[in-house]
Amino acid sequence: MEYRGEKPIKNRTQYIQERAVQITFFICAAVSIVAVFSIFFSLFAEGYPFISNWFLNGFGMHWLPHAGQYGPTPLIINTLYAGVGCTIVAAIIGVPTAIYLAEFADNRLRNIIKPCLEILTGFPSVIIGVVAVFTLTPALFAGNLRGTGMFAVWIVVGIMSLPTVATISEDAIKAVPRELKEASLGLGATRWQTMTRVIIPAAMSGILAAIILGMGSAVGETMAAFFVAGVVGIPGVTLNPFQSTALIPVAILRESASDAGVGGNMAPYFALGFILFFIVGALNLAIRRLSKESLAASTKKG
Amino acid sequence: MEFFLLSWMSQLRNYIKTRDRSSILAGALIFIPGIVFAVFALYQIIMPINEYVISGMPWDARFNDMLSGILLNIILFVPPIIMFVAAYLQAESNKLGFKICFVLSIGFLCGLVFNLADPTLLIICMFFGILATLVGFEESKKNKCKGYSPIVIEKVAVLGLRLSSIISILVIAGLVFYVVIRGAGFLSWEFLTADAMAPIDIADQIMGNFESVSIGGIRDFILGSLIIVGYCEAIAIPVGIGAAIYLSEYAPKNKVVEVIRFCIETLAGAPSIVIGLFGAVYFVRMMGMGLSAAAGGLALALMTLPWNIRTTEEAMRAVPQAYREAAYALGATKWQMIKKTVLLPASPGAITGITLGFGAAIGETAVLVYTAGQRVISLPDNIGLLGKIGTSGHSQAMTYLTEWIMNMFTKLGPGSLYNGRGTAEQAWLMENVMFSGTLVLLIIFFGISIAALILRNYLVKKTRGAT
Repeated sequence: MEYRGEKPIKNRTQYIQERAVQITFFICAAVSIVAVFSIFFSLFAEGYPFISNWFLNGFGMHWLPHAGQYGPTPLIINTLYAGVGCTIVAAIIGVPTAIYLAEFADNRLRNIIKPCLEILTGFPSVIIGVVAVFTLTPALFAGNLRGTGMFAVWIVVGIMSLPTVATISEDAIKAVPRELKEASLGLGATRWQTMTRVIIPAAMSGILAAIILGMGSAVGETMAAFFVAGVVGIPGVTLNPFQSTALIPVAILRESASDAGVGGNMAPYFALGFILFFIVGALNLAIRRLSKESLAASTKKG
Repeated sequence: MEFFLLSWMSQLRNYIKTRDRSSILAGALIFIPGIVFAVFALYQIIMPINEYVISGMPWDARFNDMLSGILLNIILFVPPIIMFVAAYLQAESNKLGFKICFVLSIGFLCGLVFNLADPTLLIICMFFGILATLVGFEESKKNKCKGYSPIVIEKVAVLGLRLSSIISILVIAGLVFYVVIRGAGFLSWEFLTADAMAPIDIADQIMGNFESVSIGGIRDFILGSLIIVGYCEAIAIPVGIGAAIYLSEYAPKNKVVEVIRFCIETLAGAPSIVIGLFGAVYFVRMMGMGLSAAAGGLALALMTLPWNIRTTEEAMRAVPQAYREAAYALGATKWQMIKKTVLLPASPGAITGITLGFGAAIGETAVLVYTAGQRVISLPDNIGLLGKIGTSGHSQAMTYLTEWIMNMFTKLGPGSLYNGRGTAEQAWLMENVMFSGTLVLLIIFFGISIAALILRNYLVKKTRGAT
């Protein structure tokens, strides 16, 4: 808080109490630092043999745990491919939703859509996955229940990261200074013209940040993708979205189950987890950069 | 169909007015693939219905097949609908029509690549689509079209925005509808309170055509979920509120706070499976908890914590600055000020957020797989830097609701051994068993979420009265 108007404390016990409270709260806040660093460290330490191998000898092209080949490249590419597709789905639905909620919606509809988005944020991914297996994939693949793949992942996980994109870009659109909007409307532009030519360009970095955040959550989504990604992991890279595919989280969850294949050796999966966490962290850094830029831009304009 | 006719008519009118031959050509080119697609889609929707009527499948199994059939046909109906819009716009404004034709032919191309429908049909349609694009392009170059009036564009655009924002409602409604339809059959008091039964036994009963199929219960699984989430919230609520108070009231603007914020965001975005792996190393093995409710709860707390922090901090920031100044003016110290003036008005937002997080935690799976139960990670001692510390105890593994669903899915779901062996009716029943547990999870989740939303309305009214 900017305002620091409290008066200096002279009473000693009160001083100690105040400091103790402050330190307690600081420790609560610092828990997240400890958590993130220990997650990073533990994954690195457990997957160390494989991570060092990958970085020294190159990322192999074949992920065949049964044959003892642990090349993560196809999994990484598939995961990014899935992330991009999900993000496109989420952005195509989410950004218009945000625009509608921020500018055009009447109260009645907003009071239905907003709680729906809130509920969808925490919706158990198991339920979404199970229902998708029975409705979406047969529809996409004409009755063949086993014909799951990347396309289904795009739709299902895209819808799961839709609320993130929608709520955060709504915030970004609402944060555009009112003067800009009023000036445009005052010049005789319609609301839609104002939206496309004034508000959206001004809120662009915020919307981009929302989309990247959606991508971050899509990349790590495990359970829903587990149900629809497909049954057989394909060792190579496949760009055909109608073939079953293997993503990093799905590979971890699926293959760590079959002890015959893994032989109790979890190290490659910890290494995969490390890479996944690294991707998410990098996306977060990008968002921070973007939101800082948008902050600087808005203060310059203001 | 009438729409195509309409657009065709307007093209004709255009032709009569302007004597522009390309406009009539463009109209024709759009008209033909539109009809082809519409006929194809109608055929697709009528044929399966006909088949179901002939076949003697039970009503509900038939209904499921029809549902997926209709979904497929909705997808098939998309091209004709776009065609209609394209034709209509082509008739009104050549520029927009051109753009949409272009998109159309790309769509055809995609359809062809992915084999969504009969390839020959798609080739025909794509051919016409591309021709329409070319003609439209020529035309738009010839007549310097003015396009639509901004008011009409706004109306169309707002309609589109409304449709896309309704998708989230439709998704939730569809999920609830489907789960209720399939899961309600096996739902009973016995199912909620009885001991669990192995999926193999359930499958045997169904395969043996028993008079009444007993599917056991999920009491232990519901209780397990609640205990795990209890552990989780016992940690995540106090720590989350404390962190939110620090960030909102105390935090200076320096590097440390920036790092804290970055870490909270990273933790919020951390994939659940990564947190599960971490929990398997730290809580299960290093701290020697084994697969247990405590380990699962602690790992889950890491997922819930950022959520709690964010919602509480938002609520605290919304408290007007004047409240704080008033408290200081009366001689309050900082902690007294926070306790008495900030926490009360912030409570509706914070309580709602935390309760919503509670609902989300109940449905979490991937975190719990490695920490609470189901999968044991045993690491050979020579692997990893942390390999030798602690024990790998895995005695008191905990059961939880999502585990039951996953188990049933892998044992009785599509593609499993028993499911494939039975008749369509038996397979349908086996899948329904799984959906009954899913329905219970759905009811718990919705109960908590709706309670949170109602609580917010109530508390907002109440605190507004108090302050």
